[in-house]
Amino acid sequence: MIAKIILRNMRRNSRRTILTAATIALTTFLFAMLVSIPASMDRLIADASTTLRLIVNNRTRGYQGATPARYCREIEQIPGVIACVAFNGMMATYRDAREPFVAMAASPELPRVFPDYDLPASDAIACAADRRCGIAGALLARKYGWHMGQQVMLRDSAAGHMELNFVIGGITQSRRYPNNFTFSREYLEAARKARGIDDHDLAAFLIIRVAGINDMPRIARRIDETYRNSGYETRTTTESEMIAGGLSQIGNVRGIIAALCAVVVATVMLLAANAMAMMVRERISEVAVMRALGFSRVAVAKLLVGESLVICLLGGIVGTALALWVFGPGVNAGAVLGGVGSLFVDTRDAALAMGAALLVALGSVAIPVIAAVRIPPAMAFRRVV
Amino acid sequence: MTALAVAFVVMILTLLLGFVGGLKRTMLLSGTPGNWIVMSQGVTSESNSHVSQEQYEILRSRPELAADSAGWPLISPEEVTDFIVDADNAADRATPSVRGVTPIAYRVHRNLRLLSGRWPNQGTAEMIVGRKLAAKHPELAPPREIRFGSRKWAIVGVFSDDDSVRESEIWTDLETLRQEVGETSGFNVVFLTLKPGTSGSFERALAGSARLSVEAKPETEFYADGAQLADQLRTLSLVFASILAAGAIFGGMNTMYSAIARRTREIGVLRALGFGHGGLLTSFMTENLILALAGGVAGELLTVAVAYLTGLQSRLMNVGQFIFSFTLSPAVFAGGLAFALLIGIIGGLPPAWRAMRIRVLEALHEA
Repeated sequence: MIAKIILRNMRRNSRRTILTAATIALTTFLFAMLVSIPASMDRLIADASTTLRLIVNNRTRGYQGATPARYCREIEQIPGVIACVAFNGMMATYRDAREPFVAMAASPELPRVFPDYDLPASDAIACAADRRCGIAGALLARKYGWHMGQQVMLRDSAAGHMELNFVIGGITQSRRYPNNFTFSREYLEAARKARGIDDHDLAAFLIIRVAGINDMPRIARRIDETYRNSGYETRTTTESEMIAGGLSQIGNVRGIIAALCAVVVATVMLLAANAMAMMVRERISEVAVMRALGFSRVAVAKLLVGESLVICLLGGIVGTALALWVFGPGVNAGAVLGGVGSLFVDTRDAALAMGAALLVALGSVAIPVIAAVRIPPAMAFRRVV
Repeated sequence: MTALAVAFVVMILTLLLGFVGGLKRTMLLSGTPGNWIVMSQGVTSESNSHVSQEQYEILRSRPELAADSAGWPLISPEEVTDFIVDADNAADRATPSVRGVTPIAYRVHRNLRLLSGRWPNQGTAEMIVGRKLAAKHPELAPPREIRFGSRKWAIVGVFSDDDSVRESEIWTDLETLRQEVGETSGFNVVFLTLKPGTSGSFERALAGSARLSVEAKPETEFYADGAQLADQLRTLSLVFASILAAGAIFGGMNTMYSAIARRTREIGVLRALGFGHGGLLTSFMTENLILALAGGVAGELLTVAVAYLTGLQSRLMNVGQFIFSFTLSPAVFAGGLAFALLIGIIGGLPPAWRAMRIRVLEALHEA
């Protein structure tokens, strides 16, 4: 019964209903997008905490620094270490020189340290046999339209301006590495040597995989102590610490997002409250009639609040559906996530946005409805006659 | 209420543009007119570039170079690398760039001033920090001993550079830094000052020489490219504000439609008295624009209040290695007001159009 009246009422001023629902839809969309930013950060950090990996960097020079690749063989002797892989980064460009991305040259231990690449075993074996093999993340491959077996030429923007040819030998579907490009470190070293650049076996950083999470602090300390006061001091951090550090690039993102969310909710609250107040004002005379006919205050309030809830719910569903559709598959967030990973709106973010829409529904309608049902029917009738 | 909603939208926009404006200002102030940067072709960041010793010698002999009072050509080879400062506080660890220079650099980058302490001595492991870096990270203020790479370095002074990005850096001796990073074949970049009016012949010489496979850009252009990040962030802010504004526009339409419904009788009377369609449209649009403008002004007052109350105006923020402060320029204010007016026009036109189309007889009859 109530539902039927609510639906009828909504159609009486369908322009207003649609406009209000559209306001809610747009702001719900924004809200879902905003909350997904810190959520995406947290997910990146949380994901990284389960990988049992430690990053060994040059202590004071970070990723531009150097760590000898031979440390890997020494580190693998430490009990609890499964494998150690040496990386060299290269700022690569494909066709457009203005859009560099990081291509990582890794030593052959890569699959033992990164079992979560989720590469089919046959691809991994074929890749190990061909040193020109390049493994691309799904988003990167999609961006450039790469497919398996395709020949691609990447240009190194640093010293020497090398042009390296690759064959795409794997596309990782893992959401954790959407923009990765990895290839053989031997291939890079050989190419650089051919151009007269000797790296003296220096890697940019090492990544090791350990057997258990409880071993991590001990192994990290042991590595850093071993190389203290050597020519290449190390700083060993867990993968989640490393990602958390990269994410803090844009000052206090979380604070900014929280403030933006608050303003979005405040704005939509104002607009919705305005619309609801108009709706209730128009119905004052009906409220009087219904109350005179014996409808209780609660029943009348249910009617009005219900209408507001349905409108906001409609808007909320459209907004979250839009957010899931646009951001569900993941987009490159660029600077917002410090260049790490990508932005996803997941069901949790969507639920949060729906919650906010419902909160707005209740918050905006509360005061006008309380005022309306409090007016004695006789007073309200005066406005009718 | 509608005006207040517009105010919130405008506040968000001006706050976001204030951040972006501050970042961009810092980048753009970094370019000194007449100064050029030489990098390897195609690279966008200094630390990814490489200019060989031979290329540097060729550049150094170009006749277009300006000279200082002692007759030395104003050309500065520089090495740039990251520095992760070992602070106890991992969350707010300083990660500045370290730039190795020779004494001529202080005359090429001619806005550099010594604020306290002294300049580093040549051939020693001494460093000088930029003003903004020292302000944001007091642990780097002199006098201080600090570990970088394989040795200890002494911080001996603080410099200023007209608010540029260089104030977020640490400068040190070129040779010592090159040894530290194992660079033997050249430098990352070369900065140079050209004699006025010689940039054309300099560019031609560079383009014509096969041995000089480098790219030269005026500093102003280089840092304008660097401001791309700021431009991206600005686009993001505008998209965000536009979506929120669309919400406000729908809400505003709601209000105006119902206002017009309430005033149907008035409109009928006005029309009967001889007001034309244009007059009605103008009167409703004026009402909309005044509302929107009031919202815009309120939003900007809110922005200023928020900026001062939260200390935004005086706080140093960073994006990556760049330290900058929130800057509300007149352009930001103008942009906010223009945005408010746009909201008024888009949100007001359909209801005003509807009012204009009300027929006299119907309107009076309804009354």
